[in-house]
Amino acid sequence: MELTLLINPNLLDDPSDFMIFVGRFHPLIVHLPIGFLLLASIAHFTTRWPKFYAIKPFLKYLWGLGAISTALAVVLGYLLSLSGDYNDNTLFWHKWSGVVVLVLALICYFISKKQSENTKPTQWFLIALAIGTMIYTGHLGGNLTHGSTYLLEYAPNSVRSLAGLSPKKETIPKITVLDSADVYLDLVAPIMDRKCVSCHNKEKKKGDLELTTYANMMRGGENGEVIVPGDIETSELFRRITLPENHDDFMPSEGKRPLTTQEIALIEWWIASGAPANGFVLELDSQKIITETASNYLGLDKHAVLSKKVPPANQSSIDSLRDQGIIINRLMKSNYFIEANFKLSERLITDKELALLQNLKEQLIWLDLSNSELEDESLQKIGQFEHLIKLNLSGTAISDKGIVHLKTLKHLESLNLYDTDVSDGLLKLIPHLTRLKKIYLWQTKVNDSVIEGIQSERKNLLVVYGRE
Amino acid sequence: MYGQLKNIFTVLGCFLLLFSSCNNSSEFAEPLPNTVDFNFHIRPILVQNCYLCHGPDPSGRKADLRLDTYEGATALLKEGGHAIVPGKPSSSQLIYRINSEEEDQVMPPPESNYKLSEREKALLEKWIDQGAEWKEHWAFIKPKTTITQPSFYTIDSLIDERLDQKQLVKTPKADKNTLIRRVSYLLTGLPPSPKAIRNFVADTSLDAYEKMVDRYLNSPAFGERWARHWMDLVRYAETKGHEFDYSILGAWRYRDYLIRAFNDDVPYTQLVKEHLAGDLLDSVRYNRESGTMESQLGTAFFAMTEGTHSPVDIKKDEADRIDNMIDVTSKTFQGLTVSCARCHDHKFDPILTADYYGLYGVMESTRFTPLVAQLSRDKEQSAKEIEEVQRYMREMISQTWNKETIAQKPRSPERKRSNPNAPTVIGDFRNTDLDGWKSNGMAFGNRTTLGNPIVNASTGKLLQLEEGSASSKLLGLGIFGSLQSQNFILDKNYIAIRARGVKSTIRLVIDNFQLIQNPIYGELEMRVDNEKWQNYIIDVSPWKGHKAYVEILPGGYQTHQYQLPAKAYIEVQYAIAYDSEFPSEVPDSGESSKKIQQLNAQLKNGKLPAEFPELQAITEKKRQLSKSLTSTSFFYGVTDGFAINSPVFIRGNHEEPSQERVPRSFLSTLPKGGRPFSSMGSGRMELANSMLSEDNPLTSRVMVNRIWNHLFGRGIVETVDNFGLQGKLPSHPQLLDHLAVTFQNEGWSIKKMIRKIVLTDAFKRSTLRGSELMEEDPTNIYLASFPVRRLEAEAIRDGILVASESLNDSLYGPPVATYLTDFMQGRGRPKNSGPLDGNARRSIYLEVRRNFLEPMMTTFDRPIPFSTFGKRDVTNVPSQSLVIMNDPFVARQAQLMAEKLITQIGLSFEEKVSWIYLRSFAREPTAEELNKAKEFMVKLNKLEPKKANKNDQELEFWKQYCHSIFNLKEFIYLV
Amino acid sequence: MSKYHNFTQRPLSRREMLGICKGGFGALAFTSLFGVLPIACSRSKKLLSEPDLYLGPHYLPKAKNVIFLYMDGGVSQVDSFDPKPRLAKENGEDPRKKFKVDATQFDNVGKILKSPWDFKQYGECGMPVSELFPHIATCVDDIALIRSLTSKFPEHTNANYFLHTGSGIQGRPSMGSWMTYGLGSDNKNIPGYVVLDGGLIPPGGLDNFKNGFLPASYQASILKAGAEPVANITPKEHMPNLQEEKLQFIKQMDHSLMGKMGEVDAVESAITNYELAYKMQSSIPELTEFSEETKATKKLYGFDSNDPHTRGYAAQCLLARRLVERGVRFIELTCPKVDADRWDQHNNLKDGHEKNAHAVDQPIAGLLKDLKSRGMLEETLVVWTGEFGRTPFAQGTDGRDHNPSACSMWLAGAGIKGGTIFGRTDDYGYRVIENEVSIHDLHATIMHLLGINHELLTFRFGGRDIRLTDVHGHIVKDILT
Repeated sequence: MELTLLINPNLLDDPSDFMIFVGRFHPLIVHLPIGFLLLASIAHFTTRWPKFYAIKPFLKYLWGLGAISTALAVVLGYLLSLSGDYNDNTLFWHKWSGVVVLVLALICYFISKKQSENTKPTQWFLIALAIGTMIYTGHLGGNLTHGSTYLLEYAPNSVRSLAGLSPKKETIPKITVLDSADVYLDLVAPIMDRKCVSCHNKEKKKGDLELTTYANMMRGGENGEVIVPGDIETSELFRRITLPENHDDFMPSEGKRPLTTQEIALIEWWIASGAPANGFVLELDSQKIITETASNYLGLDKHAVLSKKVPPANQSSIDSLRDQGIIINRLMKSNYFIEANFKLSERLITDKELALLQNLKEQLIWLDLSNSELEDESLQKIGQFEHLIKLNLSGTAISDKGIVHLKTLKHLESLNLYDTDVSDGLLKLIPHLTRLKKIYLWQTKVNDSVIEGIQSERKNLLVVYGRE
Repeated sequence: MYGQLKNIFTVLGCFLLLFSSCNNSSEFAEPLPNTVDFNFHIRPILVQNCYLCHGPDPSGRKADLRLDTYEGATALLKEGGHAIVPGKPSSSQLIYRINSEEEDQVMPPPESNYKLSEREKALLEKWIDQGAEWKEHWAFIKPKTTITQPSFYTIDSLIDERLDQKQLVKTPKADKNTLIRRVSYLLTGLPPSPKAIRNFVADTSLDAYEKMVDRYLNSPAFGERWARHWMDLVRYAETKGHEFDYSILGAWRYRDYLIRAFNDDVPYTQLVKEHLAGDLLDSVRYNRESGTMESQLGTAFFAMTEGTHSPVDIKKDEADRIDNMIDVTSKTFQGLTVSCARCHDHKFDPILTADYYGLYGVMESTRFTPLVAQLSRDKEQSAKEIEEVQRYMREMISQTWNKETIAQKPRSPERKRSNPNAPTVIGDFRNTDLDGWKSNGMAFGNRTTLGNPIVNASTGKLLQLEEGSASSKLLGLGIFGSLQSQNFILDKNYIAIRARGVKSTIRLVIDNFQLIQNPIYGELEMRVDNEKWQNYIIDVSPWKGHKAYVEILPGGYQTHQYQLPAKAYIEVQYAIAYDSEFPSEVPDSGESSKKIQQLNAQLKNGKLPAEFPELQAITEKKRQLSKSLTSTSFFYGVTDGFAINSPVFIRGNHEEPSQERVPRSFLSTLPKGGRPFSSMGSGRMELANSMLSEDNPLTSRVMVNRIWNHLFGRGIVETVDNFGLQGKLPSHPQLLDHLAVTFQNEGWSIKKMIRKIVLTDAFKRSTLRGSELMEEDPTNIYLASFPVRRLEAEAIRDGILVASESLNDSLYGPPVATYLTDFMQGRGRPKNSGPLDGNARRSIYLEVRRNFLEPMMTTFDRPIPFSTFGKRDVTNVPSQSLVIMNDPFVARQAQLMAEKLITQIGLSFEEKVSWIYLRSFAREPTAEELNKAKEFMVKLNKLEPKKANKNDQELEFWKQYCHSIFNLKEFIYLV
Repeated sequence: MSKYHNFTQRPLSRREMLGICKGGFGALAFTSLFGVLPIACSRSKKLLSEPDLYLGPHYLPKAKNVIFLYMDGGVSQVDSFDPKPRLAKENGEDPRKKFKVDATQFDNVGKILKSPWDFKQYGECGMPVSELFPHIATCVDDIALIRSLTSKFPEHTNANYFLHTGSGIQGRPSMGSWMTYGLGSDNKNIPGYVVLDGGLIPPGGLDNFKNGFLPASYQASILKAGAEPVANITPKEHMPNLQEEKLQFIKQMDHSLMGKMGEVDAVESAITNYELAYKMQSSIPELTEFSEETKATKKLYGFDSNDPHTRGYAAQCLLARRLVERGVRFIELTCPKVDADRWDQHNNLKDGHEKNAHAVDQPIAGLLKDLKSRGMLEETLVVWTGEFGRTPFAQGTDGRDHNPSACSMWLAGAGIKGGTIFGRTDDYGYRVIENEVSIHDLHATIMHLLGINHELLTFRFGGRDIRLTDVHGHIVKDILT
């Protein structure tokens, strides 16, 4: 029956779902003939040595199995092809080479059936042919399902070049320290790959522009060069990515994802500083215009809490804190950092709440305990909330005794001690808080000498200690 | 290909799992439907996630791909391939893109913040696999119903169908007390009277419920309730808001018109016509009792836009005003958000900017004007008679003099346009005709005074024949009317009008701007109060290039309130525009006026007989007749101007008009749409007719859905004002269509429709739902039970007034001034506050001042009157509790209620409590509640310092009790 | 749903969830109780399919609260923060000869009018400020000055609506409503959006503070000095515990009703509502009780001024600080009623501006200093602006007319780069010639500081997902730290 089908396929222009359903077993079945035929050929081969003569009588069965399973695979394959979801050209060759394999398999079967010695050479030739065609067919089949690039995607470049493929791009090792960051490889190239190359590559090459390599970038496209080293205004590439999105010339076009402000900033700086082909970011950026952006873009500002990804906060602790009237808010959509605010709680804070906060220490970056009956001892616990960026202890009874516990808060940027009993103790604390930017000391026991002490050693620290 | 492979393996997997049935959908909360329907499953996904960039609006369209039409979606893409290949998901780019992992490939793009759920992806894939069938948006398909023999039970059966599908168990019928409270509140906005309750509970006859419903349908309170619903749609307000919150003349008459209309069950079609074109109807509707004209009152809703005080950009002001008119009109009658098309084609609906400006023209050619409030049939009659009389007099005289008649009207000959700087004549009334000007009302009749005899009333002696002028006393004094020129572009520096009169007005209306006053516009309105002929001159140089028309009015505006003093009249000879100085003489082109002068001369020196005894009687008759025509009460409505087709304002910017103008027309996507209106005027009549054409898929649906919404608290289409692509889908499509068709077939009777719905079992169900209903259908979409509803602001206030038996249920009339608290400050604050209790009138009669809205009303979610609100929010804020807890009004009513109570002689404590319960909850108190009441009293007794007078003591207690009762949730909820 | 809970005030029952997400009763109950509407719900189709409902800031906020100091009527930029020597040079000449003069509302264009006040430079940044604001001048290093704000409307009312609601027409939600809608309010006993009525309600009336199409829960509560600061806040019962008894009784009865009905979100939350209302009754008066403030603090604000208007506005500013302490999200102060009308000096500029300035100058400076010293300025954004500027030429002889094409305003506090001057006007201070900042940009920037992406905070109305910034708005980055 398969023959009639093969001869005039239009019998089945509109395949019933069932046929396709059956057809989809093709990928399973095909592996049988591959197995059998290989086995048969090997067996057949081995029979040249006397010790394997014993197999001879069984060869025909092996070839038989091979032929039958091939036939089955061909039929299923044909049915599957009816769904029409495949590249017609490849399909054609796959289909017919499959049929060829079937024919050859049958022939081998008959040969092995009548063991005539004289046919030996032809015999070997046929077997080789059968296996060859089978491999070829299998390869086509693979291409059909996995796509043609699949096989050699990770092949060594030598092999790829043989197959006439472009060398696969080097996956440069992930940068770990900014010092080793190369301006083109680590900043520019990745941006191009993510946002531009999908259209400006060897195959598509829109506007005759290719952005895959530095050289190509500099070569420019149909309207001449797109990057003028040191000149942002006349650099077409920069103009395009910074146009209003609805502008016809805007890139990336067709609603593809535009560059982020960060990426634009990097490109801008790169072109401005002469679009070098390589060189370390830090050296090029002597006056630190871009360093922060760059390290952030490369996800290198590890020390900043905010660049950490934290898991969702423990719900039950949040709920029970809220039941105490304590305000817990999430602070950003992209991450699970939270603030805790005791200011509006109508109850005293006990160690119970602080204990609950412990469960949230990973997410907790802002903490407001102002005007609460907080004592020096409790600060020990607070010292453990290492992610704290903002801490407000104003209007509490804490003193030098307590604040020593805070020196563990490496990330603290703002510390509010207004209206507390702290004094000289600060001199010991502050040096530990390397990231501290603001500190509030109005109405504390701190005297001017202390203030001077702090300010002299920390120029960039904003110390607020007065009102008028 | 990957997708393909995955599928193959899935199938394989299934096979190996011994065909244990496993299909993708099992992962989803709701299984995938067997056949995916475009309108119900696919379009919502596309609208929500794709149309912003791939919708009808070309301006923002990305990659030249539109997914709102089949052609667009299946067209060849720029980058090759097709977004959708029917039947072949795997070769459809759309499927590839939505499943893509790469951030610059995946759709919708990450930054759009839209994201497709797995189920949605599966739906799309399945739909394409099933052939990607496209359908027109459901709401644009004319409602059809398969039910041929609609019966009393049709509605219920349609609801039950869905319930069975969802396997939801209906709640039992509510008890009689609940029912009567529900019906009474929902039909009339008032609680049932104790008497009514007793009767209904006692009435065991089968049709007891029906009778009860009919009683409320026929009570005048019905109109008050449903009028208020309608007022939310037309952003009803009695002031213009903005800086000084000027009043809108006679707005309340429109409110009364609505109440009457709903009570008389005026067919909805009629209502629509009257709103859009009440002033243009061939057969106008008169009130049955008073015999005064109703139709025209409908148009007042146009005039309820915000009124800007001295806007500098007057054209923009007009654009905003018209935008609001279009917004309200399209939402109210068609449930479409046409305003979205002001700047660009609608992002989601098939509504083009051209459609918007087609309607813009209609509104632009509509003129605001005062109208006579009580215009009766006989008035029109006598007007005709007077003109008859005058014609007769003229003819008689000319016969006796056998001079050729001057009765007929020679058109004044065409003016020859000389050099451009020569003055242009805007209007010349020295001949018999009004020179193409529009005469509204009766005052100016339809001809000039030319040749009318002036007779000595006592002797009947003919003194002389009048010269030609347009005169507001053509028929007599104190008659309303206005004379309006055509639209013209201001191209000269000055406009001069030669006029004389008493206490009257000449106005130059630029870009339909009506709130003429200082600063800026003061000079555009001139008072005429001098009986000698004078030139009244307006310097219009600042507004060159704007469109304008001249309006001649007897009487005038006081702070934008039109008034017509008895003695007021105005006469005009001509109006001209000129550049430098006033022309020495304005040549009178007509012949007939010269003739009159000759005749008068001859008459003077006795060459012609002056004795016409019969004239005395006739003049007397004329005087009598004209008396009956005087009017003193007016309202602010609209009248037709001259057709203007508007250009498209590019990106909504009025300073960037397109070259060609869009003809006035109805929405092109709907039947009768897109065809240019032919009328000489605005075309509002055509607009109304297009909406009411039987092929229109929306008009009927939208209205029945509104009715359903008011009765069940949620429309079958939840977004009652938006039937567009972004609107919610109907929960019961067949039901909606069935109702829509029935509505049309049964004469568009609103009462009948309400009755049908209220008589269903669905409406009678109890609100008590088990927890499993809560889980299965938390928001009660399928109506297994009647929804618990909080009463509207008005119902709460009115309910309190009824409970305290102090409601003043008189109908109609001017609004009760707003009670002003210290918190209501700002410009335009009325001098005096209104009464705290609003004279105990129903809330609908309380004044609606845009800048001083009733706090209690707004707190309980009465919408702010700036656009159409078909569905009110039901918020729940502390300030609501604070109102009932602490507002002096509520406390006062509690006091009154207590007073009424203790005047009931010989009631036992229990009877007293039940007296209160009947009035507050329409039911008797339970034993438990009686105990609670007792305990409460005991507590108070402990607290209260003993009063000397035992009565006061008791009164005080009951007051506190009643006040507490008002605060119970059962009082403000329909449970 | 776990993520979902993170930012609600208490865990929600599945039923409530469904309610909220179907935009049903639950939503509104929830809304009002917590002043928070699940933003995602404005696109309710997401709800059950998508677990990632999110409320709260889109990214880490700089500011938690906003104090909006509204200078009603329009302060003259050339007399306050934008000195123009050329006006003095050409004083009395005809402006029409110098530049194109737009139509003005009073259309009574006089001669070029020099500023009656001298400017001096202050602070480390050396920002020039006129004699009108000696106190504010001492805070310039905390202030970012924008000299290039423009409006679209030369009339008070439209300009007010535009400034407050981002739209020139009546009835849109005001920015305070948007902020509370987007972020909710921390304090359940005080509304999240409060307007301190200093005596002048701006032209356009209360609609400047209304919720428009947002649920009523987001409208401003007006707070007035006086016996009853908020409408209906004081119990009318003649004995204190009488009301409690009644509420007790009410609670009992309501609960027995619930017993009968089974759980109904609406009624449930309406009951909770009463408890809130009851708390508000006590927390609001406590707000206005200044006894715990020190003499020094009061002096700083100007409580001891001999100008009653200064004293009045001082009280408002102090109240504003106390509201911020109590976690109120958005606070607007309207102007005091000095005996020279609002800042709207169409004539008699000198007298009028001096009176208005004297009333607000010291209190505002006091507020800034007080906030700073307590560390509150770090989390509080203070915005000072009128609805538009005034003309550099006279209206009549000694007044100035409205001028929407240039206006000076300033911001201070959270996330603001102190001592910055942004934008430039022409030599007459009549038109912006550099870095124009539109009202939309201002809104976008304020929202940005609160951690809201102004393009993502939308509400579906009339078939559109509407934003405070409509389709406009760019963040003014240059004034941010």
